[in-house]
Amino acid sequence: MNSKFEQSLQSDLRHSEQILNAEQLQHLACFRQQALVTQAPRRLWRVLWPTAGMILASILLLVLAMPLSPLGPPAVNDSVNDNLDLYVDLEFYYWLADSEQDLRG
Amino acid sequence: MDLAVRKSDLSIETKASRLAIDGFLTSVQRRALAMARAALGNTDDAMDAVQDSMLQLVKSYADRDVDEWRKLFYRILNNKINDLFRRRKLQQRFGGLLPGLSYQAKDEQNTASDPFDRIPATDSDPATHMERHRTIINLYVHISRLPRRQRETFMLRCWEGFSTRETAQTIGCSEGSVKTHYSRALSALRKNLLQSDEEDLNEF
Repeated sequence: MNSKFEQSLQSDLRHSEQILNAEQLQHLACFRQQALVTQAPRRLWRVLWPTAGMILASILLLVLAMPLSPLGPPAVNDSVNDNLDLYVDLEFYYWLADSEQDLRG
Repeated sequence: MDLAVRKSDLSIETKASRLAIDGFLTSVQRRALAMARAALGNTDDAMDAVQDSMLQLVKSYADRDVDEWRKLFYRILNNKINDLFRRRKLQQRFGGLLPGLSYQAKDEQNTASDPFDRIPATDSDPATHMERHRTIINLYVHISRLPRRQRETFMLRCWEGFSTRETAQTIGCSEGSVKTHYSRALSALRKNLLQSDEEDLNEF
């Protein structure tokens, strides 16, 4: 604190600390008590926005990162292909069954 | 018996620590509120910043050495003020897009009910009181317009009376930077205050 200017600023600023009304002083006393007695009271909106943001981001991530199930649709396709093969070669299977019966019979 | 003695010791210790921290908070509350008000230009936001700082100090640093509290408290307060500045910027940028986020109305309300207007005169001479009152408001306005580092340095060095080293430790930069920021803040304030005095004279 060297110059007169700095001293004058400091004096004005420290004087301004006294400019508080009774209501503000009461608030300050309440804040002190709250700090000593309880944990930080969470203002709902301050918690709500980040929480909602986090949830939304997580859902988006899940949706984007979720792999398209590689086993589901191909499994269906495989069984369809098998059935098609069966129908295509149906005559062969009939012939096989007949020839087995002939052999036994 | 031994347990009872230990319990009473603990209770005395807790009471003593509560008294110590209450005493500390009482000693800094006025200056903290005035600093936050000067930086933010808004009493409600300043109250929020002070409340959060008190809560965080007690919650996180009550067990620290008493000598550390002052620096820790002002570091927390500075962070809270900067958080509010960031939030205010966001509100200004996206306030029109999201309902209920507009900052304009709040600002207007606060200028309409300037807390300084409700304060009774403390100086004997009303003219002196008015003059000082005007100087303080002017000073607050110019402090709030300083760049962040300059504002922090100025408030801690000039207002709180921290040394260069203490200021550097509190805001987390080198002593050289503190000297630079402080000198720039003083120059800017000197220039701006002179300029606004001249403008007032011209209006008169």
